[in-house]
Amino acid sequence: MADPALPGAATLIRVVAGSTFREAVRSRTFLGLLIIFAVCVGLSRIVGWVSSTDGNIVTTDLVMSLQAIIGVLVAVATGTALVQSEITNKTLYTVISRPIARWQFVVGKYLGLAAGLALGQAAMLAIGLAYLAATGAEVHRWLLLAGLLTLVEVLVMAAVSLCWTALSSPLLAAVLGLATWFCGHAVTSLPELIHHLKGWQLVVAAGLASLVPNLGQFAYRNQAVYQLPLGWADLAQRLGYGALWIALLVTLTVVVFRRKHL
Amino acid sequence: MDAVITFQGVSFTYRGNWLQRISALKRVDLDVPAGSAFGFLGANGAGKSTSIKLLTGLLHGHCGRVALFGSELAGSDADRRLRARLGYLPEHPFFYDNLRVDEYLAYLARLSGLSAGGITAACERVYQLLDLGDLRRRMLRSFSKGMRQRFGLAQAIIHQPDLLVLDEPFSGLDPLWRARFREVMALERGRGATLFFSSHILSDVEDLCDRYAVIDHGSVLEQGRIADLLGQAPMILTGSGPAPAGAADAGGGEWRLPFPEGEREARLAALPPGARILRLERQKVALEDWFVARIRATHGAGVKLGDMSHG
Amino acid sequence: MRLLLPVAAVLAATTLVGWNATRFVGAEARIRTKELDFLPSPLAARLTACGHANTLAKLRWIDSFAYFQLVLDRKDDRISATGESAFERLYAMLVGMDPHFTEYHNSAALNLGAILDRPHRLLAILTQGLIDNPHDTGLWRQLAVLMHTHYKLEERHLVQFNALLDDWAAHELTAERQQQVWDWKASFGRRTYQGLEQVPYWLEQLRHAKTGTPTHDFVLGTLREQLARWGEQELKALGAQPGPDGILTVTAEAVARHWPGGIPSVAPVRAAGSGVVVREDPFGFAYTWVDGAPFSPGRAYRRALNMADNLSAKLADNAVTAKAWATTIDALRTAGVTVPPPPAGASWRIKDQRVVLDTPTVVAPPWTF
Repeated sequence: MADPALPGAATLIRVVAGSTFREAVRSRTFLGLLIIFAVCVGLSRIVGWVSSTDGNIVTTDLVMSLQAIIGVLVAVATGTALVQSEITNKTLYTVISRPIARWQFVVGKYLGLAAGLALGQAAMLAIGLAYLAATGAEVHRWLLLAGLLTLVEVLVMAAVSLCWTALSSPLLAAVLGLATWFCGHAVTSLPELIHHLKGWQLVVAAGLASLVPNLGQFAYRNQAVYQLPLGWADLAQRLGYGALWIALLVTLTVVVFRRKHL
Repeated sequence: MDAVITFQGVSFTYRGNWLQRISALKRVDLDVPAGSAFGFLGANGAGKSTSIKLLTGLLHGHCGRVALFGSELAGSDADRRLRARLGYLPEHPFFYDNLRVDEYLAYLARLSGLSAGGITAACERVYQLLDLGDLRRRMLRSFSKGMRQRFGLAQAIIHQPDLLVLDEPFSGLDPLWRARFREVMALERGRGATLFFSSHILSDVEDLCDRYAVIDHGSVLEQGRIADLLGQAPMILTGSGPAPAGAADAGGGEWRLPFPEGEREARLAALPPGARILRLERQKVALEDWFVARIRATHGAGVKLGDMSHG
Repeated sequence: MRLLLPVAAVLAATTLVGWNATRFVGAEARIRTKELDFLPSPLAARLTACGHANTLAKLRWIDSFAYFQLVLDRKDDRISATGESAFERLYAMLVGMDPHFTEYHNSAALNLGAILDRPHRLLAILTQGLIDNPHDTGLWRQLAVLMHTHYKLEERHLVQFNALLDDWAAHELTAERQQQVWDWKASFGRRTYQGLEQVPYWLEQLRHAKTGTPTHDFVLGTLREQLARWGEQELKALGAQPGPDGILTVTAEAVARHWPGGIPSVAPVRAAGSGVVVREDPFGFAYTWVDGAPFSPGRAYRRALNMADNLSAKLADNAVTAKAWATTIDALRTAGVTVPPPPAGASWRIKDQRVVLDTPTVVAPPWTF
């Protein structure tokens, strides 16, 4: 065959993303995590019962937290393995040897994973809200918005883990990913710490805090439970913030991956 | 004949721990002519896989010139057009567990630039060639090693590439499938594709290839035509009746006498009366034996098949 | 033979599960007590919450219920290591992490306001709560109760108190809720019985407490105790005297003089035919005559129950020292533990390594509200 017409970048990214998504949602881990989530959600009612108060609020908090915690753990685990397992298992040999640029491969893999994570988050949110509705808790639109922002947090964490994998070993990347998650939430409270710091401490702390994504932007679930509204402008700003971080982290990954020996 | 693969003074060094550097290729020169079947021979760690990875874009950052179809690989997006004409079967191939055969082939074919309509036809072709039709709905996680190898060859040829790079293609195959693989490769070659493959099973190289190269410790020791290599084997004169001096008993009343060039007339003159000449032929020597002797030799002069004592 | 392994596995699993289950057979529910020495600061708690401040706050709150019992027993919330107030730290942490869950503020109103009598700290928490939740009716109600009960704002500065209620009404989002504020304001004027000033407050607490919880039991007991004490006062004022059978009697004339507008619903007497009889105390026991005055046995028994907890602690201490559990009250006394006399009609007993109070059977159901 002589010199075939090559597909465009968008097509290649879409094709890689499609196969990654299919591979992700068919894995037994995916279904297993949904079952674990459903069991945890079922058990969360027990905490509501022992709370001596409005158990519905307590259960709603737990359901929203479970969705985020399981989502982040899955994002860190799969983000870490996304490209590294392809290298270890040599599954990418038959892909990279084809007319696809490495950046297209990384972007396609990330988008496929993001689609899988989105489906998982949507499924968890649906299970959680259905359970809340069945147990008499109020299900309102702000919970949907909180679920959306939790998804953005999960996608940012997948990008963080992907980036760390490009820079280090998978195990270290998982540890660094979780550390970034911790720091990303801790920096939300940093302004309250500022008055404890002076001089160079303040400069170093503010500098380091600026290097990690402020994940507090996506923890709207804490307000959504009480039906505190979130304006469109605020929502757009948070979504834009997450998208920028994802773009930056995936770009960093591409830069490192382009130079990697496979 | 134009070269499909060209290595000119190619060196490559891996990064080891910290400042450690591992030299994998040292000024390698190699030419693979278009339409040939090229056997790339070498022991483990000799540099075969590194060479193949440089060809397929899995490695870059080399010194020297690596060219495909006459165009130099620059490590840029421009290489994509060259790689579209290449099919690659890695050694011990692994694939995604949770994709079906038909999905996986369609995925890789699409990456190689086949259209939706072309993919269906291409898939049917490889299903037939490699008996994958009944397995098309199976997930790859359920495949045995041999089945994976079949799928590996299918994905390598699905877009009918001009160059097939095969790394140990016969690994894990039973004799029936080894024969089928040879047929498929012959078909691909008949279509006009160039075959470039490494193998530890040198009889396969002997059967399939018309050219060869030997690499050891990152350097190409020699390369050339298989026919020329086999042409170096000594001539043997087989006869019956009274045996001349120096002949060996071949059983059944026959004897065999080495018949080197330059001594032929003297040997013929020395035949005893009544001796009958039955045939003159080249001695059969296994490529394996030659290869082992060649690698064991120093990097100096090559080992000639005629230097070997095997009968 | 093929069945042997599965059968053995099932038997082993059943045995292990049964073995584990034996721990629960015959086990009685015991109130768990614990200290709150390791509470993080509000800032540290927020820093380490990883975006799940609400959930962690609620789990910490549920965990701290065990501590509530400890404080209810000893009426002291000092942390053993530093002497800080654990409740103040707990509520600062909870409110800081989860500012919109007003159950914390209600709980603080009970624990800090009523039990530990720290109105200033409660005022700070309620004020913060109203900044975070300006339309929360419960918080406004708690604040109004606090200003009325502890700070006597109505008596000291009626204008300011009314301004507070107006502010509350202005923050209510519905006309119905605003009407409730005005009704509530009017109800202050109806509380004319000396000694019952805190009853509305405790009724409010009872509304928030979940039935069956230690908090609910405590609030209910406190309400009955206040009404019993008031009943003793009122019986004395009515000139109650014991009859030959020990039952207290009052005259209809004395009652008519004392309550010319009619007998209050929580009074210790009630009309019976053309006369008046003395009711059972709010705990369901008949009022008696002790030391020349009316006496509520139920109130005395409730106080003695707290003593029983202290005696149980001493019993446990003695068991550690003596390396054996005392099984009778006399044995406990012999071991050097001072055992106060039980209230009239009741007796101490040791059961399941705890000191319990045996009381007579109630003659009527205890009051409910």
